[in-house]
Amino acid sequence: MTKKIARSGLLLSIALILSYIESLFPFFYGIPGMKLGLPNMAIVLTMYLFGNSEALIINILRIIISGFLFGNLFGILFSICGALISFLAMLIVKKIDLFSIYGVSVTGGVFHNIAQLFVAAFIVKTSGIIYYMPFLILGGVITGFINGIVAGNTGIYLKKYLR
Amino acid sequence: MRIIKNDIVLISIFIIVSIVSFVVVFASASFGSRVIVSINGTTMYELDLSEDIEIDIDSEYGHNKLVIEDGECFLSDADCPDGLCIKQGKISKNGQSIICLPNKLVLTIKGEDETEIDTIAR
Repeated sequence: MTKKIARSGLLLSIALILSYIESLFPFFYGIPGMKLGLPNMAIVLTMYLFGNSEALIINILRIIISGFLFGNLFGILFSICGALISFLAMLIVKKIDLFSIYGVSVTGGVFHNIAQLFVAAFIVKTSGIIYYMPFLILGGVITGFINGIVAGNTGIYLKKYLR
Repeated sequence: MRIIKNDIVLISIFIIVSIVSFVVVFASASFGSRVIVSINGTTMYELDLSEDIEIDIDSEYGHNKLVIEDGECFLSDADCPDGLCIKQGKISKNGQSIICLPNKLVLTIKGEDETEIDTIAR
């Protein structure tokens, strides 16, 4: 139990550092909803090493904490939608068990961007931003893939020390 | 960690969806309702695309003739040396623009519900 607490704290801090780095790039190339999704690296990693429930807890905690540290309350509500939908999508893809960490990470990236776009569309009450959809899907694939490479490869080494 | 065949299939599906949505979105781009005329960055006129009109736009940079016809907007005449703005043709869809560089003139089509997004997602 103590080990689990320490481990979760470590993973949460990794996620928070990645959130901070991400907050330095607020609007990626001016497309709303487009994110690098760096914290998702830590979430995917946790999912694979320690299970889904731990990953979900870390995911929610990192949104709340990073929201208070680097953002505002509105930002928390905004990104929690994206994160939860993306998490759900990743969970489904992982449960299907046909894909490796790459497939799961790419799904997470794509659904995160799509969810954020829909939230943005709802808030500004314009359908105009649906124009960004193709770019957001493509962006999600690229960032999700890169996250998958990092999470997959660091996972091999972290597994030895964190278990 | 090695990528497996199923991942490549999944990624390909996403990329295909992205390309298809790109085609769909831009083929069905909505028609704008207004044209914004700006000279050297300042908005001079905002005209309704639904009314047919012909106006002369004169400024210190030169002269252009703007025509709105059947919900489409174009420049029919200009004194700029290259005449590229006339060749840019008719515009009617949201976000399209005609730019006359020598006369510093920009026409942009805007929709009804244009709202800027000023919140930052984290």
